[in-house]
Amino acid sequence: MLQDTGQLSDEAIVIECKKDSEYFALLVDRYVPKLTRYIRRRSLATSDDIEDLLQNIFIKVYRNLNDYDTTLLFSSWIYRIAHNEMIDWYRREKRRATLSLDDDAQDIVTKLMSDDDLTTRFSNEEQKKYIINTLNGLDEKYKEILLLRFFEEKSYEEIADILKIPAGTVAVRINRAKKQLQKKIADYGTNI
Amino acid sequence: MEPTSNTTEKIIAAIDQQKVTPRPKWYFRVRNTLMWIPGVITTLLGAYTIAGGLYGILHAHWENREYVQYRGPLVFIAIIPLLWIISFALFSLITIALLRKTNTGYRHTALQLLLISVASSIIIGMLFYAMTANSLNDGVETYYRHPTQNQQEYVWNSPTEGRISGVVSATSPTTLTIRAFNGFVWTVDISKLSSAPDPVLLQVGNAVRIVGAITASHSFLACRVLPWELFPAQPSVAESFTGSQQAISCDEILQQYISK
Repeated sequence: MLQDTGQLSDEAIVIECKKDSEYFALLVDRYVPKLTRYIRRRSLATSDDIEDLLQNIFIKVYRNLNDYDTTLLFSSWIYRIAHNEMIDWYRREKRRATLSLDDDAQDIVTKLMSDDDLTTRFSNEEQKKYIINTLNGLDEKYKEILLLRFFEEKSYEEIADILKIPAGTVAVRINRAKKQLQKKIADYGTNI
Repeated sequence: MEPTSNTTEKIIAAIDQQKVTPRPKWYFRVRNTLMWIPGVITTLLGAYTIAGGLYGILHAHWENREYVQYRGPLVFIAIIPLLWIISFALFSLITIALLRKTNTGYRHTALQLLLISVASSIIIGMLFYAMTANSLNDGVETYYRHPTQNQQEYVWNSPTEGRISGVVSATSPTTLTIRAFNGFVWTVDISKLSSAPDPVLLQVGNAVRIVGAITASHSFLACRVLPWELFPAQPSVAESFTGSQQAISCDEILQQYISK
């Protein structure tokens, strides 16, 4: 019988899962909303696609539970699996990775730009569209890293573990992505 | 615990339906170990190239370079085994790529992995060299000697430039018969040596390198006889020996015969 499960950390649940598979439902429950949001932001996937993707992700997680390295956060590990699953999905569907950030466009500007005046100028639909297009015009590696940093609110170390790249590379990519975006948005701001 | 959402329910049902079970721990242990193997192999190959390079550098006979008509950087090209250096660089790069694929390899920068790979190869290579270089066995170490030996044979089989080498096949008080590494047989006049080699060196079966000049077909006038191998230490010049009474210096011989 499962008791006080809300208090258990993800890592503790993984340990319990290895003894009692029923605990796995707890992990699924915890991560379905987060991963749904992540997939939705990362793609133009339909609800059915998202359901399929979630199913594949959790099956992989369950099958590879004994591969979970406890020196990592469980969330980093599951996001890594989700990230790889998304890449496979893009390949299968022969699509280009496209961010879907309609609801977050204003947030992006706030988080990426320190210039308040500039932020206020990006309020109408046309401008919002411009930001999303600009973001989608970035290289895939920059898009992904900005998404993880500013929307999933992952630390540099977590992003390094998710993408399997050195933490230093994460910092460099975030910096470059921000600069690219800031320049494009600033240019746009000057032109309007 | 009952699934709290419809999606969770579907996922758990799919896991049950597909009879998915966690893979056993040993499967991941084996897989993770296998991922290290290519990196370890390339590190060992790198170590092997270090041993070969070390052998080449230490057996380059730098002290005889005055007799080799290479100057400046050409000395390095002629003597240092570039093949080993290029191979080592290649193996180091492959090792980095392979280590990156391991479970924790991504946590290190390329520079860190390069340093780890190079340092491991150098340490293992030096140990390997120390253990095998002077061994007389025909083991694996003989393969790393080959490029250096071939290079030395090439450099020291230039009779027109005053250098021959080979194995002593007969001796007399004033001559040596040398079978060169390319099979050519020379009668070498040693009556005018400018310094005395260790008598042991002149025994039948020893490999030597000789500085001098061609005097006739198959005949060579020697001014110096040097050991082919540097290790063990070069045979000492007999202290009491001041050279043959008819001795002429190598410079004289080289000028007299080679500049003709």
